Amino acid sequence: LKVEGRPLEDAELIERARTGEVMAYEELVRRYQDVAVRTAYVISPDGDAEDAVQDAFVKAYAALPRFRTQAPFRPWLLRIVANEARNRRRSAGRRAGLVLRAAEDRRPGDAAPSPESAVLENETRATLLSAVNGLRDDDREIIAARYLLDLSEAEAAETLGIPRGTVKSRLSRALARLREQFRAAEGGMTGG
Amino acid sequence: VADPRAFLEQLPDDELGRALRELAGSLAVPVAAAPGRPDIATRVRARLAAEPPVGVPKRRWGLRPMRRGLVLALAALLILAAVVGAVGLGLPGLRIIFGDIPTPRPTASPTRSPSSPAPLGSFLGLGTALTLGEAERAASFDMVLPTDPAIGPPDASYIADGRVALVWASDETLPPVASGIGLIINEFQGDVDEGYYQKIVGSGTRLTKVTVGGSPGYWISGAPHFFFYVDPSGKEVDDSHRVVGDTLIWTTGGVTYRIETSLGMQAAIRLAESLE
Repeated sequence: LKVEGRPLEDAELIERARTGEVMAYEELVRRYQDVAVRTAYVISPDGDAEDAVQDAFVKAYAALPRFRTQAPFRPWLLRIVANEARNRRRSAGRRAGLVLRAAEDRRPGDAAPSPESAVLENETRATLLSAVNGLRDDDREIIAARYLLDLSEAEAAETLGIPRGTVKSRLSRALARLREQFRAAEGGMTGG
Repeated sequence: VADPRAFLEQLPDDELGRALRELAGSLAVPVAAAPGRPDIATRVRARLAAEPPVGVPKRRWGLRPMRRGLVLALAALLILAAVVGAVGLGLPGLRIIFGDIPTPRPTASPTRSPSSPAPLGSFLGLGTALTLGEAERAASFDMVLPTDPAIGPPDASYIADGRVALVWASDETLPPVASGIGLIINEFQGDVDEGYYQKIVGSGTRLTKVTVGGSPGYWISGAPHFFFYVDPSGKEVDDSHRVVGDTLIWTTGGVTYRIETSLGMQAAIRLAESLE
């Protein structure tokens, strides 16, 4: 593709994929595989995210005829990924939750930590993460969609399959319960 | 920060949100495209090509759908290919994988002036069209050409990421391998330790071990097959996602050669040995 000029628009690739061109579909989903794996991971940290994404992409291919051509493709695809990831969730008691990658695991292309981010070093980061892991699924999902995946309100709504008008209120409730997690942990420390 | 809990608890929503966004960068998220193995999109394509879902039209390439066992074998081989690196079949960097062929890769319409006709084989996505002289200068190795006067110089030359492709029109000497194409010769610097070719071969494809001027090679014949290439950094190269016919492939002096021809194995080897 790159040797022949302009990259194809999503819409063109979708049209081709609909007629059975699996290579057009491959090109299309390659654009979203990173965010898809991230989505599957934050929704089901203990499930096999790669596997969930692979199955979701296969299902999305079969569902392409039902995709509305003018709609944005990314949230439509992420919704299928999110559903696939949810199906792989373990029962709450057996979860390890999201984990931090090892410090030396900095990936090429990662930005160097900004001075601001010094705020979030080590213990703070771990505390924040364990509070996120302690949330119920629906609270964790909305926080994940808006902050961990950095989706817009509209994309978050579609990805999670919730009404767009409820994103703000759900998010603020989830943040409130996240604060309760800190408080509960403090209480646990002093009381225990 | 003395007490992270107290600190986090007093943050207003927007600052808590910022802290969460920053946290996202530290999560141990699995990687969609890890070096040295096919990325998710490639694996999905291989799966869809092997087992098209019901309801989506299947492109007609005269191939039967594979059975489930074969699909699993394909998946296993894709993984195996990633694991074994360049050991494989004896040719530096060549991986051979059994699978069904996919539908053709989409190509953007090339922009060209209406006065100049498209060079021969431009639909194959072989790279940037150059003159033969330009291709020779651009190649990082000594290019070789057929010495048979009946074949003559190529009708079109392409280069993509250092890989040269030479294309001849079909005629009575060179029966067609694709629409209007009688012969394609690819030449590229093969690296023994890094980078490898993955070749997805249809289930009706035969693989014959051959010798070309003393160097080991393979004659791949029968059902069409296709190539893709993973460069030394592990990135899949947009190379030849296209269906190819009978192929002779061999490596000598650190350069890998690939000839696509309908002449048959013996003639292909003779042609290969005449290159200089």
